[in-house]
Amino acid sequence: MKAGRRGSGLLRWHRRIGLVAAALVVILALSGVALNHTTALGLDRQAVTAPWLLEWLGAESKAEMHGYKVGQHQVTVLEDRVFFDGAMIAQRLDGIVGAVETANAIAVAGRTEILLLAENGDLIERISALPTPIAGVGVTQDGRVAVALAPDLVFSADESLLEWRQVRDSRIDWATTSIIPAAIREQILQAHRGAGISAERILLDMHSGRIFGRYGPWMMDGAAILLLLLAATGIIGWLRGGRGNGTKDA
Amino acid sequence: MQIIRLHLALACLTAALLAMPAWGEVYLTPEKFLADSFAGVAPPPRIVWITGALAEQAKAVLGHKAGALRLRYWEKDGRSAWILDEIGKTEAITAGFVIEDQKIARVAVLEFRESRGGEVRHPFFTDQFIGLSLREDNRLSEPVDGVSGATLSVRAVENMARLALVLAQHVAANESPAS
Repeated sequence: MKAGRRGSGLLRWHRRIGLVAAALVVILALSGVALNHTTALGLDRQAVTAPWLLEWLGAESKAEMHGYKVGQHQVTVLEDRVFFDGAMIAQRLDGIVGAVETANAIAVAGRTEILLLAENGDLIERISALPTPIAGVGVTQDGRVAVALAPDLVFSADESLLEWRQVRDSRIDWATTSIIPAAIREQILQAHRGAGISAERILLDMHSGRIFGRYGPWMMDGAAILLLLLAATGIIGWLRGGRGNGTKDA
Repeated sequence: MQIIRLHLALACLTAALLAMPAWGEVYLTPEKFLADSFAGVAPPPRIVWITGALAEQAKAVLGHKAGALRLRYWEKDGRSAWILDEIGKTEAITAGFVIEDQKIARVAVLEFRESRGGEVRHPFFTDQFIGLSLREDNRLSEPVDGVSGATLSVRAVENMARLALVLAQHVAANESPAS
């Protein structure tokens, strides 16, 4: 009778554990099976571009866009990315402070570097030998790049941006933000999303639990442990002869 | 209980590995590289425009368009120094080259950002380049031994060495390079 109660208790726990683990085990099992056949199913080639899912996965930027009108062109900044008329420039730039049009180029300034761009957006040079940290970027009356480290600490460069000297010129046009045209804004958001995320990546994140956020992997670890307990309680129950409805004595 | 402990330990190990920062190490600053290359005092920088035929040659050497339209270099008494960037697998490797008499006089990896292949910074690899020049077909005059597991990094450093020689040849051939 004692053994029967033990068997019954074990089966009750077996059922409870099964119920708790069920949802996560289903995800674990289905994503695992799909991942075993990613190439055959073409999951590595299928891109998911749904904005809500990209946002959920952290692939959609929450940062604010800043636009600068430089001559006939629009330079837009999103996080550390620079967009020239909506097209992403390969080079990243940290702490972007502004963009100006000089006599023969376009200068996009970050805290410690300047990207010098040609009229068609091609990179002329990435310049890191300059006074830093840059707080503002402007252009002098003769079209040369000027950087401000502080309101009273301004440097201007020679034509090639090889040499810098401190200036006390009040006639500098400092970079100011401008309104970003809606079409360019949309183009940038699309470029930032890129080709989306592959279905394989999403399945991998589901399988590992990362899709559920920071604690997702721990949740999946918990599901795996429950699965082990389920197997253990099942085997023990079977060995004790608690088959069927669990009421039969061992 | 032991299984749970083991599982927790593995989970902690995985979390610790995932939390590791991206690899990227500066071995030598550009300032130090230039100072070392010019007996303590680097000459003022000059610029070379990578346009026209030079851009084509650079593209042939790198296998892709050069990253920028112009590049800085430092030159004194027929010795020029070049600091170049090239992608290994996914990240840029920054390396410095000194060219003298159209031969490589020094190679140093300044910054390596890839997760694998950092062995290319060691002298056993970089010293192989010393004395090499450029053949007419834009290849190095002697083959360079690779490093096991660092094929892409080796190729990137080799390509940068070839580009440095191409650029040095170009500025030497132009009596008054843009500066």
